[in-house]
Amino acid sequence: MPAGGAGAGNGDREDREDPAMSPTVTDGKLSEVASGDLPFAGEHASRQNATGGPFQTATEIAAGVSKGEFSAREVIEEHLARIAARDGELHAFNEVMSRDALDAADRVDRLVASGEDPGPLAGVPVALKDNLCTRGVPTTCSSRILAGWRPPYDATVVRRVREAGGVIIGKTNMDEFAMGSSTETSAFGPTLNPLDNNRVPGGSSGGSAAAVAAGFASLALGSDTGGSIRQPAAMCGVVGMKPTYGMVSRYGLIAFASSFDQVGPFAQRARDAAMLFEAIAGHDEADSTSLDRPAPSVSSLLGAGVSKLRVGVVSELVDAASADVASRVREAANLLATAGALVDEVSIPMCTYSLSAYYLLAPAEASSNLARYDGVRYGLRVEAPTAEKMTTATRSAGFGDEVKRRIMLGSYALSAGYYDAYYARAQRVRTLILDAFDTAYKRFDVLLAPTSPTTAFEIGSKIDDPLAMYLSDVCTIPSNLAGHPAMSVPFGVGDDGMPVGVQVLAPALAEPVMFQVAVVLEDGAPTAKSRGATASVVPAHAGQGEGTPV
Amino acid sequence: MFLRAQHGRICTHLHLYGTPDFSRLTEEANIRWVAQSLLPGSEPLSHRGGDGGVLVLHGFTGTPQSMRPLAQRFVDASFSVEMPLLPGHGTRIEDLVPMRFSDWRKAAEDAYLRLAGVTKRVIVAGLSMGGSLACRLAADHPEIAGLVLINPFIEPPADGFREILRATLASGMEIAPAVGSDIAKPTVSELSYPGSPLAAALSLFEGLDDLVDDLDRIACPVLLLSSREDHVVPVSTGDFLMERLRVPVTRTWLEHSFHVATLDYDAGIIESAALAFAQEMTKMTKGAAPAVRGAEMSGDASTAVTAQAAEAAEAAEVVASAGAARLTTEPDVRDGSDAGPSPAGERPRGLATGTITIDEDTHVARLARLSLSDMELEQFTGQLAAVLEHAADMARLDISATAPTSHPLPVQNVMRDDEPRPALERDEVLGQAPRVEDYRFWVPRILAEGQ
Amino acid sequence: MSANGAGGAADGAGGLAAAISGRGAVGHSGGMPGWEAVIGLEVHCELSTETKLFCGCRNRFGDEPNTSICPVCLGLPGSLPVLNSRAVELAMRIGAALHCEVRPSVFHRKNYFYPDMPKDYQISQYDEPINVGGYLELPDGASVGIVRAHLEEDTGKTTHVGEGGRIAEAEYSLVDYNRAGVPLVEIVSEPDIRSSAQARMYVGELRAVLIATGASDGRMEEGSLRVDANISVRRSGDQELGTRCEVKNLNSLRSLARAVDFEIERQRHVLESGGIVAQETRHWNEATSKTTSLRSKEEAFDYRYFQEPDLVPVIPSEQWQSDVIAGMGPMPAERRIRLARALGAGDGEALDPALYDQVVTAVELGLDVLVLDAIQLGADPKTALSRSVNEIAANIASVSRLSAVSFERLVTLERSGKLSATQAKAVLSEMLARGGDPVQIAQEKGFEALESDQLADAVKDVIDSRPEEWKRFTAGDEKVVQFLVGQVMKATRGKADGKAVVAELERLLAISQAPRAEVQQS
Repeated sequence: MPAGGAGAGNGDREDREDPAMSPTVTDGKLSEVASGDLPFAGEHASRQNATGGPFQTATEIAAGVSKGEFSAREVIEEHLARIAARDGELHAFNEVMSRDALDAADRVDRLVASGEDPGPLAGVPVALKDNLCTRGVPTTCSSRILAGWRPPYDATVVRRVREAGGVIIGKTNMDEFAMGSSTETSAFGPTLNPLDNNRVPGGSSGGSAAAVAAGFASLALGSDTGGSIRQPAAMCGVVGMKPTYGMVSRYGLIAFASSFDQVGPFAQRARDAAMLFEAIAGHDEADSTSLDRPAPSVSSLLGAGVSKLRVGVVSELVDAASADVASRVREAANLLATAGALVDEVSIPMCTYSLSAYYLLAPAEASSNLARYDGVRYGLRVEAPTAEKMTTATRSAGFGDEVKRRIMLGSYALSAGYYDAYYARAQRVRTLILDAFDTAYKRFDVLLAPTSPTTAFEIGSKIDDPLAMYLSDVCTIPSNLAGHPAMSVPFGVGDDGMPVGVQVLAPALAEPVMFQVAVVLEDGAPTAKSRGATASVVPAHAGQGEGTPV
Repeated sequence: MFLRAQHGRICTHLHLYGTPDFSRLTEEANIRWVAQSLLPGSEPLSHRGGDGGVLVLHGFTGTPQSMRPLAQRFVDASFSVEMPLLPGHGTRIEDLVPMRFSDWRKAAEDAYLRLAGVTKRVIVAGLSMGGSLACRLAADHPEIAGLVLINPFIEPPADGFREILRATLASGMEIAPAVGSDIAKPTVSELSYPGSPLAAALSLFEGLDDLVDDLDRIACPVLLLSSREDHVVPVSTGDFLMERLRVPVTRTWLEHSFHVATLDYDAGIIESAALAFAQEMTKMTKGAAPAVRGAEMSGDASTAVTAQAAEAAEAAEVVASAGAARLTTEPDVRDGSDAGPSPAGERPRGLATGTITIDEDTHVARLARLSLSDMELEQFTGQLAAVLEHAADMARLDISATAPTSHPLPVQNVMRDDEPRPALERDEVLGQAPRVEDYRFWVPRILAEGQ
Repeated sequence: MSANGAGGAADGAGGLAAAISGRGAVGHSGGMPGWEAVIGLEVHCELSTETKLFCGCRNRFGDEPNTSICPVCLGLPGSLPVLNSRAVELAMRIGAALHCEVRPSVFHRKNYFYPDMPKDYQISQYDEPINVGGYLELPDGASVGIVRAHLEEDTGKTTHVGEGGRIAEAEYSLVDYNRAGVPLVEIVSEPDIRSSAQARMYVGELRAVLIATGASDGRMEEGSLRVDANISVRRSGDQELGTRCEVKNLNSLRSLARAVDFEIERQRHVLESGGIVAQETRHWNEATSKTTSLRSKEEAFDYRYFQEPDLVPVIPSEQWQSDVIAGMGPMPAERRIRLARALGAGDGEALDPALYDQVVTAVELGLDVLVLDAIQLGADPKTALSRSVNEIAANIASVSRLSAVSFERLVTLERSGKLSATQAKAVLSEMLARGGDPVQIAQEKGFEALESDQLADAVKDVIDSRPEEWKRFTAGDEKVVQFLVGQVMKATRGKADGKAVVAELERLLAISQAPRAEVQQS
């Protein structure tokens, strides 16, 4: 039931019968799904087989494939069918790697058949953000300037996913060069939110978030420079995690802002995200900023609970959110308190300067990182009579508005006469923010905040107002400035019925405790049924989205 | 799609088999042809938008269908657009048989005059024969502000080839075969006649003979979009054109498209480039008009330089035609208090918006090798000012005792041993390059010195 | 800063060198009374590493174009640099050799667009370089201050195609990235240099230092060393510096000297005729022997430096620094002193200038160790030095065939008269060509030195057979000496030593004239 089943994720009433009709479940729990109760996909829906197929979460797939209960090929064929059925509408992918994926699946199946260990991600379909280099496969950053470019090498994380038995299924759409918070700045057109086609999936890793939410891939990799994993995860109702800076290799990740960029996982559940994180984390000698230490084991601590953990709710970030989102964060805090955590409010006033510092520092690095797109060695070239004009014409035609804007902003911040007032000052503010977090983490083990100030907004509503768009990163940016890990966990819905993400922030290298908290939140998150009032709203949205040509 | 036949199948036939069997092909073409009045999709377009006008011209045996996505982009961007259906096209192939170059030239001329009557500046965009007509118009009307030529048909075919066509015509064969729409993208096809009327084609060639002599009269900037692979018009026709134009040409290669590139993979690039060009060339309101910016270019190198504006300036220097003169002397059109031309040599007044000025933006854009239109410049200046204004809150913080952070985590002394690793395969790397010669990367003339 | 100021720390060594050399520092070149040139040099030195600065591609001259490239040095999206530790070591060696302070350093990005730069920024050290504040002592005893010596990456190589192969006339350019990312150390001198001769000497000495550290092969013709000169002139006695011009494209010591002379003359002429020297970059054109202003597009350079976020700070530990320095041999200045002392200099005794020039040459060519070892084994110092800077220098590539032991033997054979100078040179040439023992080679060649009576007989025979020439010789015609020596050589088939023949002739002359002298005296 590949095609129609995906519709359940969309809340389409006609199709909602399908999941229950699909008898092949790998977990007894799944058969209890009540087909009519699903307001939207996301963590509840996915757990409840909303995506319609037999192959659900990454852990289940890896276990089934390893045990030979079903083949990796079956898994991949199923996911490719879902993509074929619905990605024309959502545009989560820039490139679907069907043949490569089936070949990789067959290799996994052969390993299983020959009794060898196929790896922890055996047969699990993984989608890659299109800024991760894949040898011979177009890697575009959703930019015209790189359209058609086929890298001659694989990113380190890509290699590690493959080595772990994961099957790379395609390259996902994104904001151009990861600059954006809605996936609308993609040169190839926006990705739609699978839960409501009128809304954005968030960004910049919107394609990866949508791919997981729509059941196109069990896992996905994104990159997070100012919230680009966590914010779309929140908006699409999936788990998204940004590791400690230096925990995951950046080699082969096309740079946006080098001192902020981190690769991280998307998954339907925290334990699946943990599995992918463990597969990609760890030292890489090709990345000088990679931490020279073994990746922490997070899986082993997933069930440890939160008893006696000290949890601080960051009041400035809660205040920055809309009322419904703020309510979910407080409910999440209550849940943790109930589970035994020591919860308190904490004020970190310095957080409010994060946006200012970030929107000078990140564009400054970007302006330099994107200089190499000059029409000489690869990518687009617009011919002109001199090299200077050729480069200018190429860049002017090849970059979209948001990229140009940030290159301008960053060049300005670094230029003679402004460096001290902008760039150097922002670097010092970055120090103050690090100090402020250090102080907070003396009192708390983790912090709690909204992921995004609002739920997914409507397509087109912010694209012409860059500052408004930038403000949607206000809750995620502090962790990037500090280089700390943070993750978004779906937690109920907003007044509009769209999912809300609660963000767990932790100090450097504290991924294990962060995951511990995430699992408790996930298990205790309000079910869709308990929010029946809002649940009814969603199918209406979804239905509209479905029928409206976009 | 006659010309494709010229360079493809017919040539092959002539070469290998002597006289081709046109009658059989014509019969086939006739069978495929279904009589109807106007082929769906071939409707002309006439749209009243702003003061900037774009005349859009389709090719020989084609229809407005091939140009509609491009025309729509202009409509969306508030241009006034005229896209005529050229005489004899879009209906039945017989209708094209009696038509001559003069008919299409007149139709294009009429459409241009209609558009010029309701707009202030007009650019002309044409595909294939539409490109020939666009050049024709620009040679006749120096006030035309710019040309967008997509695989234009310019170089007249050799006499020998025409002889064969005349002989064929004399033998009673009126229509030569066409080969389907020349498009790389498999899912798209062009709405066009299944054959090419020979007499009409011969008159087109004669039109080209005249045009070639007049190419040096063209005075407006030209954006030339050339497919690398074209089975209809030889790729060399672009070079032929560039050799004869006295104005600078911005040439953009279309790597993934065949002749009907407007419907092919690179349609997006064409549309973006053409739109940016049209906006640049028809600028009428806020900010300096390209004309004045061109003038500033010669006096003050610190003002905005866009590829087009720079070329307009160069054009003004080399071509003393009416059009070029207009480009340099027309007063700056600004609104309100800021009216009047900027004296040459003086920077445009900084439109101070918050903390960043257009002046600074222009400087920064040049540092970043970006060419921004005045509209973009103004928009960006406002947007950047808003961001910088927001960032001004940092001024409240005391940072006097704070060290800067470049890396979020303290790491030092990361090094590798001095041990060789395998290099990349040269072919794989060069295969990705836009242009290569002698195993090295080809770049056009470098003006500035390196370090 | 003046040469004197910078030389403060160097006074000890510099003074000694000056004393040993028997000369003062090279003074201002004449011909410009009332004016003084102020010159600072920037020398880019390619490091002799196996691989590039930030990737494992080979650092090698002369490969096929674009065969030594990888994602990193090609600046492909997603690639990241990792620092080559050997390059850091060589940079520290250069710093130590130039008496610099080695400091914790970071890399910055220097942002500007140019097709030969794959990332369109250059990774370089900016305000926190690895080496700061040293000096280089020249053979003439002067000392030139070193501002800094920092690490950076090289660019690719651009070939301009079209008439003349120069940028201005080129139709298009072709880029080869093999050189992109090759490690460079840029050595910036204080403006302590006052003449073209001194500039040349500075680069020559720096080159010797770089070779001695093992940091560079010093091949200017392959671009391993590239020099830019900052030149200004001022009226003698002025404290303020004049406006300087940077001159590029100096590909040899010769063009450096010529360009400096041209530029000094040009600027002086501009100033004397009331003009103003524009601060600009100028290009040395070897063909026209002129510097010309680069007609670069008017573009304010704004490199937007910021710390390279893909690299981390380099903070060499004390241990590492001392290990690196311990692996270094003595520098040329020290080696010159050592060799000069072996030749009898020191304690206020200066060497004959011609001999000191041979010392400088021997050190420059790296032959000083061989000479010293041979002296140690008992060779005559002057003979050993002379053979090294003449015969061995002419065939320097083969020097590895020569051991100190065999060289000493050869020198001693010659010195003791067993071989004539001519024979010794022939034997040495053979030793360089195929190695081997000098005695054996001499035997193979049939060289046996003439016993002194054999020599006397041979000379006597020649005198007897050539009474005419002998008469002229006794009459004081010096021109005939060579003829007589030649005749003796011919008669002895080259076995006679020229000097010994002359000595015998003079002995006979003295004898023949002695009675007369007595007569005159009486």
